[in-house]
Amino acid sequence: MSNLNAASLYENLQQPISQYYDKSSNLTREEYFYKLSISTTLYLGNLSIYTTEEQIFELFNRVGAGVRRLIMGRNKETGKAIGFCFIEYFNHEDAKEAHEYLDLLKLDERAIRVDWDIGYSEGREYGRGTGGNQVRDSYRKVADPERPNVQSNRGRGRSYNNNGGRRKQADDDESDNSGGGYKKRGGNRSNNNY
Amino acid sequence: MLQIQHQTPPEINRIRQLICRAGDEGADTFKKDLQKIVDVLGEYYQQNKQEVKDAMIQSFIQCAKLLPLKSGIYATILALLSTKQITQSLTDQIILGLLEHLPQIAQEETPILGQTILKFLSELMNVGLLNTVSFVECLYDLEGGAENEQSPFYLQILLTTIPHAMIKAMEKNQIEFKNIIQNVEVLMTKRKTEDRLFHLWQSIRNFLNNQEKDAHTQIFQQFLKTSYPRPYLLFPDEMTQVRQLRRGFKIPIVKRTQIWRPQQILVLNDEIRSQNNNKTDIQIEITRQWIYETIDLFKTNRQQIVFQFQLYQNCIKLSPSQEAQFRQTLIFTLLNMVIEVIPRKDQLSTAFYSGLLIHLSQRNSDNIKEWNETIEQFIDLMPQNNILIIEQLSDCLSHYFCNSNFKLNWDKFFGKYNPDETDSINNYLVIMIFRKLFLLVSVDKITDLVPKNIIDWYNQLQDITKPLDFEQISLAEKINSYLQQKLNGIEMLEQLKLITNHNPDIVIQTFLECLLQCISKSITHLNVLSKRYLSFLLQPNIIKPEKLGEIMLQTIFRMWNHSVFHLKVYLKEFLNLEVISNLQIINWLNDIIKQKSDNFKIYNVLIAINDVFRKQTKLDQVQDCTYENVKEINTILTQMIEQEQDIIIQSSLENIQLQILIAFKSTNGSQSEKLLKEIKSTQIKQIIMSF
Repeated sequence: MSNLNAASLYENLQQPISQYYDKSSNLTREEYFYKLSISTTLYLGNLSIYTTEEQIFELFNRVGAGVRRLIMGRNKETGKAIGFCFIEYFNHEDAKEAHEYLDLLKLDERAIRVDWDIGYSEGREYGRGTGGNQVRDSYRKVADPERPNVQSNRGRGRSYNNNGGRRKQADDDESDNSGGGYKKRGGNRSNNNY
Repeated sequence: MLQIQHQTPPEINRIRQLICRAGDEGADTFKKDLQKIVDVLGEYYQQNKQEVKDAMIQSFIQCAKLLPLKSGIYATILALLSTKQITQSLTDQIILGLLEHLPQIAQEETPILGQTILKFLSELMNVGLLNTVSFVECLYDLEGGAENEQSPFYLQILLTTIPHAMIKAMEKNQIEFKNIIQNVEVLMTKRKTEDRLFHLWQSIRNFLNNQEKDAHTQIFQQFLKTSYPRPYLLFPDEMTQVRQLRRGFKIPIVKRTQIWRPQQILVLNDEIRSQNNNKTDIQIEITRQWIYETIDLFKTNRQQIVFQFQLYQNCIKLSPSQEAQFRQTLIFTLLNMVIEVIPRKDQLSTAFYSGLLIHLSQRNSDNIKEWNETIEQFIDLMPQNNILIIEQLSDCLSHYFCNSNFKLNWDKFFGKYNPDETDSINNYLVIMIFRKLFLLVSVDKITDLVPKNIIDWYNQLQDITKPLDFEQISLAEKINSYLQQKLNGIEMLEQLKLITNHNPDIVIQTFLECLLQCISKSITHLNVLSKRYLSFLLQPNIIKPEKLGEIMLQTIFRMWNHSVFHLKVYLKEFLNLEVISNLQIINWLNDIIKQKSDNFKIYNVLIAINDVFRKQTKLDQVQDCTYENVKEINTILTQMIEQEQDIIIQSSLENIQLQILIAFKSTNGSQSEKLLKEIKSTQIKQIIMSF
């Protein structure tokens, strides 16, 4: 393939590869972001707990040589989906294409967040938050009928609007706490329900 | 490679940004902005620092090579710099530096670099920096290359250059230029291929033929005057002072072995098309070529590709009708690329196109109604003889509709469905679009957005999330109970051996049916259960592998013939596990067609096989790609194609044949040459050799 890369001319338009740094990865930031730069794994967030694997697979399998593996995020206690997953491609280029062209677009009527991930390892599919869900659901200020129903730290009575303002919606959903300006994501440990 | 930003001195960063961002503020402030850039660059050049001079030269060359939209801008800046004594040598060095890149053109896989450099050189000629005679000489070089080459690589560069050079060339060097046009006419007549080159040539020829009548020239000049590409028209006085670089140059033509194929254009969007004359608007063709270039150059970064398209719209002062034409050309070009199903090496996925279409439409949200109408126009004109086109298009549109708040004309799409024509291609199109749409979004969530008659119709279709029923119900119940106990492979085998009141083949078949039902619960079930059970079935003395493969394929077809999704997923999984082989798949397909199964079921299988073969090739993981196997597959497919009366099935079989031959070439180049010699069709050979 041609090595021409016009995109590099507009460096100032480049976003950082990811806004998220997983402190529990036991990697330094340099190591972490290097792994992301060669990763073949994506993290999908803000999924509805009712979105099926087939729906995710149908969309993301359209990229390149297709999906190598799909690992749904689950509640360790209940085994139920908690609204995120990992998608592994066969090569970095396919993962990049999915990241570039599917991020913040709708699947099952929700704007999904597609972010780079350092790679799946056993246990990372479990939520690290209250009751085995994702941390961000513990800090949710407004109720979301498509996300795990977590009792603690709930809201001010604003009704949740699933339809409008994709980027704003995704940002609002992801706008929780975590120190150091990095956003929290997901999970821990293993199960066999099959 | 550009240096990491924080290590680069600020003035060099500033120069780089200044050159790269030239013209980005918009057409209203062009003149002022370009003048300012010239002044600032002049000041920096006067400081006489070598690294600053080098940065200027390198930045100009990089941008000239990679930003085709701005060729005119950079030519204008260089022309203005050449009118000042202090910066004349800078202009010379930049041009000479760029000419050193000419040999690189032949080394590239695609003509894109050649196109962009030649476009820039033509603009340098237009501003008077390059001699017309030298420029026309290099067109002769390209024409010579085009004559002697099997693929239209040099022809593409030549044809895409002509629209930008022709007015000046006709003015200053008419005889030689007309000679080139006549030679190109001969080349194009010999070609006989209707693709993007053909349409581009038609538009050039029509423009030149109409020039005497002056109407087209005037329109074109008008377009140039207000347009982003040629801002030197804003500096008429300065352009008379441009100092020409007296230097000839040649394009080294190297004999290339690799074939390059231009894109097909299956659906045209010419405003000025008449049935008799086939007039093709050159403005559309120039825009179309620019869209191809931009996608090729910026495809790795969505933000920037969208930025480039926005730049085009912001900086060219388009009238409402020009805006509508640009929008139509953009949508038609993208969708034409989606439906180009004949394999290409540089093929992008439907997710790329749907994602790009969505992001572009979101930035044009005021015109979303017009966007959707244009998409509908495209579908109305789409070829009606290829189910792979339907598959690609339904992938793209289902995703697009999910992201456009479902503001589609439901009645228009659903109106294509005719319940009295069970096998019609339009019915298949409607079913595919809605199936994929309602797979990406649960119908329950959008009941207020979808007309009730469509939901009722959809609910009557076979549910693609559920397999069809078992044949041996009581046996299936028994086997299901074993599956629920989560027995491992050996334990399961022991249990199956105890079932003596049924033929062993029936037991295996029913077991596979039960397994297929279990694995259909989720992708995770598929991964876990298929590895758990299928690996033990492959062991010697249990069942012959060929037999297992046959039963597996028959079972998949029986239970999932209504769902392309499941066919694709299972074929891929079982190929990876080596439960089935490519040869078995082709034999299975042959049987299905011979049995005269329902057409839509055959289409589903064809689509699934094409997809699976294509993905195998992308990964270089083609199963059992030996000469003997591929030869046998090729022979079977050739016979099927020759015997097939239905052109829809035939075209899909041809595609599948291409996929397997391409896969063979990628994995076993030397042996594939042997097989290629036996293939009669030149077109097929060319397609394979382009990989």
